[in-house]
Amino acid sequence: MRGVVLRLNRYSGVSVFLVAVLALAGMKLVYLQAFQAEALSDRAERQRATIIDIPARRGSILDRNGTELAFSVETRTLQVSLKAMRKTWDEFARKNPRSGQNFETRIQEISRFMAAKLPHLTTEEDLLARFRKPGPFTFLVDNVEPSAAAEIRQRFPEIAEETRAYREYPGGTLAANVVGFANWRMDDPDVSKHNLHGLIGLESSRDNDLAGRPGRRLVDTAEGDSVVIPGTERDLRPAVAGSDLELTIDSDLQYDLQERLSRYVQRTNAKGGTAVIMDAKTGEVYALANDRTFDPNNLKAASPADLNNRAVTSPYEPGSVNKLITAAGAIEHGITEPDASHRVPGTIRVADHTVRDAWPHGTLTMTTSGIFAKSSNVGTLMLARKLGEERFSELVDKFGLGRRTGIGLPGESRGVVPPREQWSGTTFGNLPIGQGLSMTVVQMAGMYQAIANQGVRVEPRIVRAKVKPDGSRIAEPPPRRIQVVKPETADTVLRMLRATTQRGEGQNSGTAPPAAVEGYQISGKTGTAQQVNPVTGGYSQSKYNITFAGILPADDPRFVVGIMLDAPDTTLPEGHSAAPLFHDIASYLAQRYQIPLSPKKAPVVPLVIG
Amino acid sequence: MTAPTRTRAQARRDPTQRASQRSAGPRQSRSRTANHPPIQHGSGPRASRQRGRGTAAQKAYARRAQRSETMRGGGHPVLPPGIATALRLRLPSSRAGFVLMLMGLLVVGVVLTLWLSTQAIADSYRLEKVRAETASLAERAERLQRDVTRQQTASALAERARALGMVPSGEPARILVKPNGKTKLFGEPTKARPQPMPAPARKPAGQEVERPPRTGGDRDTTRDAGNSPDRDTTSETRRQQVQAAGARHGGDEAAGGQ
Repeated sequence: MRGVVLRLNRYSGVSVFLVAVLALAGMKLVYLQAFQAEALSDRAERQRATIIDIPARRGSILDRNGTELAFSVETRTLQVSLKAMRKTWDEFARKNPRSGQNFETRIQEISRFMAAKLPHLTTEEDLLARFRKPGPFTFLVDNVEPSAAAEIRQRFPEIAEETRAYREYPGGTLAANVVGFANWRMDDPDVSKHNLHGLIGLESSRDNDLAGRPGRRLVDTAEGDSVVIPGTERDLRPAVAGSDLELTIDSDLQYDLQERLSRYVQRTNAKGGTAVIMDAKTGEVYALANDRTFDPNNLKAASPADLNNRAVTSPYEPGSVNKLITAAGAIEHGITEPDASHRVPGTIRVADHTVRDAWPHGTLTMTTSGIFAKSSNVGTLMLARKLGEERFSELVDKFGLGRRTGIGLPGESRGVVPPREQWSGTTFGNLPIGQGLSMTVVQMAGMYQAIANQGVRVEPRIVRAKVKPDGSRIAEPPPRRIQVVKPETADTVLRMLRATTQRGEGQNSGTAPPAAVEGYQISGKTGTAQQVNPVTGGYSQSKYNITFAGILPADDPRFVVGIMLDAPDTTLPEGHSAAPLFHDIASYLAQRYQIPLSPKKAPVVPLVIG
Repeated sequence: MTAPTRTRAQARRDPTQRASQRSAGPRQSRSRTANHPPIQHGSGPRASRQRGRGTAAQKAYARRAQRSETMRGGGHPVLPPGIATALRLRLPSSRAGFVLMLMGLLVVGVVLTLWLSTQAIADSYRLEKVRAETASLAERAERLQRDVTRQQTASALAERARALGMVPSGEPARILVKPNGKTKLFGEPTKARPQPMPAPARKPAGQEVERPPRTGGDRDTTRDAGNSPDRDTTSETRRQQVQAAGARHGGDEAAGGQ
């Protein structure tokens, strides 16, 4: 019988030893894997797994020709954890007293380097002050270019950076009232949601389209580094960029209008002014200007009045430009013809008060054209009486007064039109001549746009389309079209209002010969509305809204211009009518869009025939 | 190396064959420069055949088999002497050799893996560096593009034109060229005049002075009830928003912190 002989030599000794080691390793393995696996792998994960936020790029705002009015720029904000830095450097100084380096020398070195690198953003003194703050953390510089930030961080690793963006407005004040302003928002506790968001204007009202959605990727990185370990990217959610907005605004025209309006308002010592240029056929707003505006690149310098886009937020009593409604109604319902004559007295009694014409006169024989060309209140009220309150009220509604145009700008006002049920005796003595109701300059121009477009009023719009990040262009929903009057009526009124700009013999000049542009037929209407005197509560005898609405050219309408001046000095020649301003604007329009000259001169029609 | 082609049981039963193999082994290695183990092709079936014979006969057959293999070349490749010397191929002839060979392969494998992953990491670093370079160049390109855009805007161009001493052209006269070639002039060409710069500070509006109005409706001071112009209420909220934003915009220290 042979059994296993236990041999006590070195082979067996070594093998026993190895087996013992294996057993120990096995037990440790079991212990780690079974009991500590979760905790250890979590700790390891936290050490290396890094969430990298992919910021979303905000969409740009472009004008109708693709010129950029607003776009985003990626920047870095440099910051430092003072607590950690002080600790590290104090320790270093303690351990190496001979190196002569400590927290103080370090911050001086950093400040010097950074100030030299970013002279336009900060100074050495400012940085030193920030470093010496008692708190645990501080921001150092904002709006640093990414490459400069990378350089600084490479040299001084204790400085951390945060990715941000800021909005640049290359045109400055150009169309600032329309475009608005956006800034970096950090209120959200989720850091990945920090982004640019709008505050004013289209930046604010179309923020949902412009702001994208941030993405994120989860990667493993070497600790403390930004080098990604290859093959470890997971949970990739790509960022969705914002859409670009294409506006109907023409930059050059907008600039020109803003300049001209500002200068005119200054020259006439007016309190303010607004103006709009619209396409006669499509209602697209080519330019929208207030007399004062802000520079979005320097918002701190702006006053609240500058930020108010009065062109759509502030309605005013229009005055005689509102006589368009009576004219259109009278022609539409066959009450009169442009060349029909009327006996027009100098005053007329409405309910309990007397309405006079702007110029004192006895009873004159005027044509219908004359009533409107010379802006006779009495003649208008006579025609309005024949039109009747019902039909007049209907037309007021069809012309879009008292309701928002939906232009697409925030804060748009509806204007004020007294409801039909609340009309008193004097209401109908005021409304036809443009007092007792209010409208914005956009609504005012919209009325004339209807006349210029064969009676079809197209709601004005300022955003043409949005362009998604993948390049697809999504046009805005088309605006509403309302047939206000018959096409023949619109044409007739359009032709009739040419007389406003005519210069004739004796009393046969309209109220605005300066509005005429040589070579083109112009149709338009002046307006002078008394402002409300806040002290007395009645109408002022000295402060007026001076308005003008014009169509260029009258024989083939391309553009409609609306102007409102708030309380200009009416003793000045330019102060009592906005016609010279219209003239300049129309002349520039004709140049810029190379509008062909009108083949025929507008005929000079009789206005006052007796 | 080849495993023994006979089982232990067979080997124990033919101890003499094993002995003869052992003796044949060193002799073969001396006689041949290429040391291959004698491939016992036929030893399997031969062994079973040989089991039936006597021991002496077995030995004789075994020796014959060895010799014939030697003469034939044994079915295993024999390199010509020169190349063999140069290559110095030493395929292990024993178990220890086999183990060593495997360990060698393992080491090579490990070294290769290490080297590849090091390369991958090195590539990652290189990629990071190149990416940083590209980003910096792209940023520069963008910055230049922004400069161009900024200088292209109407306001910037107007400033530069003004700085050059140019003036806006004012109203042009227009020339109509008729189909018959004749021209007609509209308007009067005038020299462009420099416009006064708009004053930076706005002058206050004129005082409220009682003046008879030049134009406009003249009416009694009474007016309709309920038709006050719409005072916008949005400006107040907007002002508050802007002030809050201004505070946020300027001092972002409060938001940061650890």
